[in-house]
This record gives sequence, structure tokens and C-alpha cells, in this order.
Amino acid sequence: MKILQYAFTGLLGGLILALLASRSIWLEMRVNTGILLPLTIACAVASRSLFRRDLPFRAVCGLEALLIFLLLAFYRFDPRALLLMPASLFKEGFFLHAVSIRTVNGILSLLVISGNGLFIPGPAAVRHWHRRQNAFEPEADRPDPFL
Amino acid sequence: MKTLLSMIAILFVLSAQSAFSEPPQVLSKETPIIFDKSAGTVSFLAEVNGKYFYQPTRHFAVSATGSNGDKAILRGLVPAADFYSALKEIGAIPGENMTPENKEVTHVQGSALAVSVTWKGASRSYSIDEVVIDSNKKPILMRFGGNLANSEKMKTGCLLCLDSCPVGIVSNSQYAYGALEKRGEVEMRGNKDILPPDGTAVVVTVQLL
Repeated sequence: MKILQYAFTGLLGGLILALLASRSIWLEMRVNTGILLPLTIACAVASRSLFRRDLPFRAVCGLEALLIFLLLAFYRFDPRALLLMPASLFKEGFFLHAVSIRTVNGILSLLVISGNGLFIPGPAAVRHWHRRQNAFEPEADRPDPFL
Repeated sequence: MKTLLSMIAILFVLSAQSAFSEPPQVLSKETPIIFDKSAGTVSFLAEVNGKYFYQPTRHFAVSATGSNGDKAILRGLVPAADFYSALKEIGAIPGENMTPENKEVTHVQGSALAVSVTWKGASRSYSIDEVVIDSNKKPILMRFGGNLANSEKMKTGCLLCLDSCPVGIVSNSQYAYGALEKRGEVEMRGNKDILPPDGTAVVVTVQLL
């Protein structure tokens, strides 16, 4: 589960990097800027196995906010551009040449919804959180275990 | 009697012509390029790449199988060598004056060509000046540069470039190489208000002037 969280964060980071790289015509004409997507996902997954730290949801929210800000800054409020650019970078990055932009947008929407869903705490995590909260309760409020 | 005989002869010639003339060729994925020697035209099939409605590029059409296949306004469904041969068939003369050494100071030479684009549902054929936005508003002057040897060596798949190119089969003599991506003299992108959406099949026609 944690590894999927890292992969989703890598996807968001990759989209941001690919979007920035594609703004350079020199770079865009020489390399497949979309390739930054799978590369960033791979780096994010590798970093999970190295550091084994949990990702805070606020980091993902920050990346999502940055992505939306960049898209609006580059393409204003043109809905055609907003629907096309992230999808075409994803398509190029994963070499999905035969897949239509509409299908890629469907895949991206599913990934974003399920990716955010990965950060919703499950029942076990909620129980653990309650246990930790109780551990910090003042001693006077705790029931005496010897009674 | 003489008039009757000559009329019969004319009728025979006309009917023979229609009987022996080839049926009109239609472009398809199996036959992605056709040429008409008498009209001096070459037509090939391509697909719109909507990405370059919003990003500048120096490629108008590139063969989808080439290394630059995703870098152009149109993904050509024809190999560069076939496009070169078809242009030779209609009598176009390649300039062959561009080299990797002189590319930044040389303008492409060769037969002048008019390029137009149409698609299913389009009200008419649109010229390249209508479907490509040049930030300097200068006309696009396409010439048959040739460059088949460089094209086969580099495997870029370049068919029509928007600045003079030592690799592209046809390129724009208005600008020397590097005007778009190095010196920033101009920006070119597809016209989203005219071209159909991403992935739409279009027919590109190149006519010898």
C-alpha cells in the first residue's frame, strides 16, 4: 500500500517535471519529455525501499496544487489544452501511441482518484491513532490498572 | 460520310481512354501515399498531433515511425523515402544544398512546393499558411531539399520541416536552421482554430509550383 502511495506521488512529480521540461523548445525537440513520468515513478518507488518513511498527505496535496497552478499558468483556462497536455505527456511517456487522448484522460482520472484514496486512513490506522492519543492522556485521567 | 467516320473515331478514342484509365486512387493505411504526375501533386495520409497547438515546434510533418514522430504538428503515415520518391516521380528537383556544416547560414533550395491539408468534414483544403501559425506572420516557402541520404542515416522520419533543414525531405526556405529552437527568431505551432482535434486523419497534398 505504501509503495503505491510513493508511486502516485512519483506520477504527480513526473507530470510536473515533464510539463516544465516540455516548455523548453530545445529540449522538447530533442527528447521525449514524457519519459520523465515513468522515470520519476521509478525513483519514487526506489526511494520508498531506501528510506521507508511514510508520506504525509499534505505533500501530495502540495504537488497537486503545484500541478494545477502550472497548468493554469501555462494554458490559462483553455479547457482543450488542459485536457490535452497532461494526457499527451502521459501518452508519450508510456509509449501509448495507439491509445486516444480520451482514453488516456480516463486512465489519468482513475489514477488521480484512486491515488488520493490511498491516503484515506483505514480502520487499523484509526485504531492505532486512538491508541497513540490515549498514550498521551494525563495520568490522572487514566483508569488505574490495579483497581 | 467523312464526318460520321471522324465522329466514330472520336467516340472510340474517348471510350478507350475511359476504359484504360485507372480508377481514382484513395488514400488508406495500406496505400498512405499517392501521386499524380499530370497534376504534379503528391498526397499522403497523416494524423493531427494536438500537443503542438499549444507548444512551439519546428516540424510540420514527420513519419510516425521516425525518431521525431511525436515532435510534429502532423504524424505522417508514410516513410520519408517513399515521400522523396513520389516527389521525384512528379518531376520535383531536389536542392541538395544543405549540410550539417552550413545549415545555420543557408536557406534550402530545390523545387518550390505548395502544401495544403484537408480532412473528412472539412469545407475545403487549407494552405499550410492557414494551418500553421508563424509568430512573424511570414509566408511558409516550402522547397524540395532532398537530403535522402541524411534522412536514412539519421532515421528521424522528417517529411516537412518549418525551417531549412539538412535532414527533412521538404523544408521552409523562409528561415535558416536554428531560427526556431536556437535563435528564437520565430515560433510556429498548429492552428487549433482550423485543424481538427488530436488523432484526426488528414490528407496532406504537396503540389509542384
